[in-house]
Amino acid sequence: MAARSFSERTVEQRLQRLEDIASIRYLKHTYAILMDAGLCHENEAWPDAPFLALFAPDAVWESNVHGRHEGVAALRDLFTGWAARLTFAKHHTIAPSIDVAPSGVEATGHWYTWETITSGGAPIWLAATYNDDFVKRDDGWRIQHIRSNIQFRAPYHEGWAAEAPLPQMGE
Amino acid sequence: MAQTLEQRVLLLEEINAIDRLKQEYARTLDRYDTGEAFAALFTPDGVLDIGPMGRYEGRDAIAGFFNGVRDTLSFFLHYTMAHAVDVDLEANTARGTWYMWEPATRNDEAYLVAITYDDEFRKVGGRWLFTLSRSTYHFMCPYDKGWVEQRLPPD
Amino acid sequence: MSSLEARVAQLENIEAIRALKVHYARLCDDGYAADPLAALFTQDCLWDGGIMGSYEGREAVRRFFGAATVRVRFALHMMVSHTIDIAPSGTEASGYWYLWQPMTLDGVAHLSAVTYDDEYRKVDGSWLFHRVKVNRHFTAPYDKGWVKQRLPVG
Repeated sequence: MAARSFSERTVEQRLQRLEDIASIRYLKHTYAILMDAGLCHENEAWPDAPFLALFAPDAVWESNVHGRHEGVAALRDLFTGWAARLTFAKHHTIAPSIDVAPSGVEATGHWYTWETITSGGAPIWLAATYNDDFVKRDDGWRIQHIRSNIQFRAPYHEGWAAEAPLPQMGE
Repeated sequence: MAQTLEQRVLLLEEINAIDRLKQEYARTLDRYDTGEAFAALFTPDGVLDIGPMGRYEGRDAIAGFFNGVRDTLSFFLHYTMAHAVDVDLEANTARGTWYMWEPATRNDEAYLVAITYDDEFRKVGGRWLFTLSRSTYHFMCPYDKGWVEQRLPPD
Repeated sequence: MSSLEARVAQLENIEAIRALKVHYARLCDDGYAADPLAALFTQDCLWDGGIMGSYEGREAVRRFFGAATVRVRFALHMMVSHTIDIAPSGTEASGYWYLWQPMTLDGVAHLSAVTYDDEYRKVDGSWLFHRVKVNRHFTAPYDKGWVKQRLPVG
């Protein structure tokens, strides 16, 4: 359908935007659930399907701490590496701000996360903001690009005052 | 399955309504409302499964658990987030999962709690109610110790 | 307006109020940018911050935010859980939110837990804050926790 300014949209176009927002929210929440199940070693197949199936084939994952990783094979290596060090993780995924482009097949989303992690046997907390890109394919919305700006990654008994905020990636 | 516009609108409304019910569960706890008010969020045969804190069937048992909670927990805030809800519009049933983060005061000591909810719902007389709320505890640890040193209370 | 269109408008209103609250949070975290923050409020707004003071009108709110970064040099306003009710008028609404906020106060790590009672007004097509009441449950030094010290000393 032709892109229109917001005020000129039909009821169905307005409904479609609301559905896209709900779908992207569900996708991001599913990413967290499956990520955490994998890092808690609850799923031997992880990170393979269903987790990696949430991503477009040429998807990128990057952060200000982990660098940039492109394509499913690189993502698999990245996530497998995490599972080698982590025994527990909960990504509390908070406060979506989702914008669907007028094309209806691209979208961006911003979230906060509050993470409790056990790495190398030690408790760590981590807070990050995300600026993510999504793409709508024939089989639904997929993650195109995750950009994580980690605000702090602090040993539990030390807290974040010394390092917060870490240097951020530009948007 | 082709959906009418009306079904599509209804689906989004139901997802909002179910998250709203889950938020009401949290708020009813956090304002220390009555056991009856909390149990009224469940169907008469509803089940509250609180992992290490037990399993309660029916509104009387659920209300009884709720009223006893403040014996040990004098403060909490149930931060309930990241919902993933699936609704069956035909059957008027639904399932949902949430992450929950909770600072609490237990026996005058600061505690941190992390839970995943896996809940089930039925729409009765135009209102969504819990048929099951199941909590999986990831940790309930003293704030001073953290979740590695003591993941769950020994008692 | 058809009934279906009215229901779609209602869903849009809920998303717009969610977006308003998160936009507010992100502006706070971006160094409490006072001008864009004040623009999110009605002219005759009221900010009731409890022990942080009460501020009436956009100018007072602008000055309050402008001064916030002196002591709070880092904060993440994580607006976690919410309920939103839109009045039948479609131009008034209320909301209840939970905030979890890791932060520093005078350079010292603190954790803050707050709930908000909000009122909103739709003005010229945009939702704005009209009344904000801050319920502070704790702002505790990180190394002590909320039982040993619920609120900061200073």
